[in-house]
Amino acid sequence: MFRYIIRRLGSLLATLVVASLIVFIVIEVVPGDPASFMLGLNAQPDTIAALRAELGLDVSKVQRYLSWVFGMVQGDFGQSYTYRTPVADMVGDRLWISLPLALYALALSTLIAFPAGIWAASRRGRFADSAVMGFTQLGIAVPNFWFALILVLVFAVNLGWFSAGGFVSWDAGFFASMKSLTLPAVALALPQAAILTRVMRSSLLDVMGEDYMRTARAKGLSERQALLRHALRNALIPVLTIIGLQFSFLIAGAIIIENVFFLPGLGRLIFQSIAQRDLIVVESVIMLLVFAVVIVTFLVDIAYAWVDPRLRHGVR
Amino acid sequence: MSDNTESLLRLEGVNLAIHGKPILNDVSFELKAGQTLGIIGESGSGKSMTALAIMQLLPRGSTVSGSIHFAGHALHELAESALCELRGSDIGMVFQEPMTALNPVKTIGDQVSESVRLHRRVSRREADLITLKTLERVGLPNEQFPLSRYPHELSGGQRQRVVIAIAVACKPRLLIADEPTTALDVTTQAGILALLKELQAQEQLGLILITHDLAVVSSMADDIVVMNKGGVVEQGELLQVFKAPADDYTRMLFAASALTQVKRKPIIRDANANANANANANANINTQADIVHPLLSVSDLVCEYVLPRKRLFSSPGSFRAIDKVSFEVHAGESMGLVGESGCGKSTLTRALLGLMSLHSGTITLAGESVTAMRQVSSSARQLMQVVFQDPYGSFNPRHKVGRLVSEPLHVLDYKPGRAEVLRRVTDVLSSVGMRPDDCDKYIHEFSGGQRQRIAIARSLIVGPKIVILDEAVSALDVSVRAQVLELLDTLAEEQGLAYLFISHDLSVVQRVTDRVMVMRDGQIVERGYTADVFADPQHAYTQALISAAPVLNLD
Repeated sequence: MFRYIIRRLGSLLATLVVASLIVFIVIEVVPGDPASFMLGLNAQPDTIAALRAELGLDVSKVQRYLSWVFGMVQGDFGQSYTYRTPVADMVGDRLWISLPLALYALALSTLIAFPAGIWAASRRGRFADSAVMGFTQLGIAVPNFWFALILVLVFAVNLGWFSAGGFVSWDAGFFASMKSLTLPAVALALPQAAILTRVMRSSLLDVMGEDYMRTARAKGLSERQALLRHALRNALIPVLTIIGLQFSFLIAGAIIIENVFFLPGLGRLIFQSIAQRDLIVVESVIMLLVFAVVIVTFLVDIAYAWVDPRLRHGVR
Repeated sequence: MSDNTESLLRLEGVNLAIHGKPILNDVSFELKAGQTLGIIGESGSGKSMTALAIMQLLPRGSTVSGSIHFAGHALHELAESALCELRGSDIGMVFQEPMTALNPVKTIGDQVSESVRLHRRVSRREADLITLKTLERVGLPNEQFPLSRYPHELSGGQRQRVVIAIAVACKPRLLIADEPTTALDVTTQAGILALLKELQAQEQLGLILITHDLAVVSSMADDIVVMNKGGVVEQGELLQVFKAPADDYTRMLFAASALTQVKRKPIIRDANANANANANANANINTQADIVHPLLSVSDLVCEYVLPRKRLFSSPGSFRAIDKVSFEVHAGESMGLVGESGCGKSTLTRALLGLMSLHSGTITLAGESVTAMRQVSSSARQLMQVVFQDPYGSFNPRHKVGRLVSEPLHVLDYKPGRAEVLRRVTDVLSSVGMRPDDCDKYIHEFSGGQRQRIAIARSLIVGPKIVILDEAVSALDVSVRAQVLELLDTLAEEQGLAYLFISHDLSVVQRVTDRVMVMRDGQIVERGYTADVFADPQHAYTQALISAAPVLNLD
């Protein structure tokens, strides 16, 4: 198990290094000099040169890459070209919205998908199965911003249970903040839950055809007991993979939902920074997202090993 | 129910259809407490479905009629919850495939004690104690096999012992064993059969032993039931049925199972004799040449697999799958290679086919060196072809038979025209006893035996001199196997083919080979003329193998 974790950690580090190189190179290739962009069309060449020096853009590329990486390791993400504030602060504020939102949505989608998938699998071919499958079809086909609009219409405009948008700061209390995140989380979670339900169901059905399920029934377990005690854990591997992918998507892919609900999250920050050629912010946020994705992948790998002893022992 | 008191289990007129397709037809038999009933039959005869019908664990879409009485219960009328109480408690079941019959993510202790806790009102601790005792009883003492072991840490035979432990943990009165040893090596099989016999004697449980192997049943059963096509064709006391089978099907089955050694033309032995006799006379140059230049020659072959690193920076270890193996196969000779799983048989096949790298040693085919991982020359490929075990898995199901069979033709030096391809396919199909118009069908339209004939046809289409038969008849029913073996004899005679016959099945090897090699842990431990080796095995391992193999013995 220890060796397994060390190996995973090694590949995690390698991924981060490669990703940082790619991000840096791609951003360098993009046309548009931040200094001249910031100073406008009529800037004098020497003013631009001075600003470039101030921003640290005049040194060699290798030097810039290294100082960027080592800065990040120490928590220093540099200064935003446009706002002249530390990137770390800007990102930090947004992260405290995007991260809880992603976790909230993921929790919801898992809570919906597990029972629904298990129920559909245990009623294979019957009405409940077809009904669940029908709903998941709908959930995958309908875009999440449309769900968001419907939710706003019903729960904010008609029923008045939630506000239609905006974020209540964490200073106002945990529950107030979570309440303001609820509608966006639901909108994000529904399509994810639909996908996860289908994966859960098909994975369970695969496992239920295995020989050891017959052994479990021959032992005297009822169909339901056999499903919960023997099939579920074996069916979890593909489900974990999808959960990992979904989290990565949720943390950065919520741009549209953040816009619908006026949430100042990471997605909006990237969008604005790209529009304003605030490359240092773009670089930093992308690296942060890469870091988050890599960490989630690592956690998913650990979860695999927890689920399947064969991975722990290095078989397969 | 007064007439049921004697019998532990009684089936009367059981019919079964799955989605309207009849599977069982009027199956009736009974089993007395403490007796062993052998159910024999070929694949598709309904043996396993009979077992599942007794367990009432039939697949979806099944409709059953008839009655199944077990120890005073009418199983066919019981509610599901009552059946759950009986299963695992009064009726235990052991399955064919030990490698997949256990849940890979649960420890063996959990899996055995689950059964105990389900049926006995005991604490976790007591259940663990019963589990320990049960595992000990099936030959898995706690010191070597603690409850915390996972199935993947055990061998096939050990896993089958765990499955048996699950089945007998609650001291059932009836144990159903469905092909319990078919997937195991002979020496392991002998151990499992002995265990079943012992448990049966100790606990006085009724045992139903389902098998296709007459030799296995002959050493175990009191009564037997012979099934064919979903119906019982004959039943009665073992000796009576074996000595005087009344039904045609039974007679055919027995004839096909008894593999008497067919007199093959003992090419090499004669040649050797000739060579010795004529050494001075220099006669019979042709034969001499054959001996000097064997068709296939392997010398000091070593193949290794790289093992994963033990620690992060330690150098990776290696596993020697083949350890200095040397042998020769001459033209027209049938060479056997026997050994149990993991002995290196499959690695040897892969090495011979040039599919894996050699660590050292040489493989020479008709004078040309076959060095692995390099493109083996097409002339070598033309000389050597292979037939694998799984007659279905080795074909692309989306291609028609004509295309499948003609596939090896690309090793020819030229591209044959359409007419020639068709002629060759037709020739080769008819030589294996298939019809020429079969080439427009898909592989799923054929039975297992026909598929293996097609596989043989595919290997013959380029006119090889030697065919490697890697467990080529192991998956076939006895009656089909007998036909395929006959076909191999005919082909050898007509085309002068040499075979390298790789198998775990001693009786088959004895039946078809001139010479035999016994392989263990990557080494050849014994070799010689087949008749000699089987009559008087020298190496302890060969002796163990031969004595472990069940014999159709009726005395």
